[in-house]
Amino acid sequence: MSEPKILTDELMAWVGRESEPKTGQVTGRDLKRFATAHTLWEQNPLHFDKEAAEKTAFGGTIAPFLSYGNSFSEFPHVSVLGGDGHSRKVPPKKQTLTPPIPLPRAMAGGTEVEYIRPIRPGDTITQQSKLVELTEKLGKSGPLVFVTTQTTYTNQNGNPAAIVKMTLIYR
Amino acid sequence: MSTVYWEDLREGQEIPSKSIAIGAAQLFQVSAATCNTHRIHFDTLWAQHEGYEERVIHGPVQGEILVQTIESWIGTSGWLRKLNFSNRRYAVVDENLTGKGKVTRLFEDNGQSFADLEVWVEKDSGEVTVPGTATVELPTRKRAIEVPQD
Repeated sequence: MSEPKILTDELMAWVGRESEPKTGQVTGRDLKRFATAHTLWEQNPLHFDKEAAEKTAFGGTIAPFLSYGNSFSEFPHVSVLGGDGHSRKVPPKKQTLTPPIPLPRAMAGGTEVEYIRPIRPGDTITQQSKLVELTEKLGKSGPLVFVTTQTTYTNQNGNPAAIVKMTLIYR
Repeated sequence: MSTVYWEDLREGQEIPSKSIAIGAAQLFQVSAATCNTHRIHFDTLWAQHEGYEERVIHGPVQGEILVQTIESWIGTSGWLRKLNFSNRRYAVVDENLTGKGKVTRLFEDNGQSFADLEVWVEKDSGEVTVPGTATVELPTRKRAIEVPQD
């Protein structure tokens, strides 16, 4: 007796799939805009004060911890937005890491960020994502599917800066 | 910002908490800076149409509460190396949120000193919206942290 499964062999074959690498420059201006918008309390000198940052072990200003994706963000044109303002009609190329899970709702699961070296203003960062895990559980309201992607951010010297794992939960 | 030395810490110790009620203007700035056009973050009527009582704080901004609670504590001589967090519950504009944490483990690895933390964001009701864990690298009185320059 086998239980009904959402994750068929066909869907499981998506694990290991990689996105095309994307490269972009992280400018000081982009980082400052991100840091300004996100500063909740006092300004962190590591993002705002070049002279003060140079006197620390960091040796200069660094990108805010959660700004890793910032050099790749661009406005979606209004023609691809749904009624809620979220991107809907994404070109198929960009969906290569999103398997067609036959469940109606997706929500954010967890975010895991690890820094190996700081991202700095002026760095050219290459981002590459991989679908690393697909798992299925039976929740109170029915099946849950966890989709985990891992994105690596590499700098212009070929050295890894950050590794970010994100999990989406479908139900 | 002060310096937190690794050898002064003990496991179980709490870190200073930080509270904030994030206003509509800042939510707008975050949406703009991240090219996020999702209406639940700036359009009250739309947010209510989706069943929220008010405009919703971006999930990563609740992560920022954790990041900046930790960074305010360690200052510029420590380095937040790892953060894991889960957005369990949403929060809305002008709602008071507090970042909290405690030291769960102190360890050394390869001549560097680290502290693992349990961190979380909670509402005034005590309800936890975002639980997480973090690892910070800290200086000792004998040596600074090592930050790769390449």
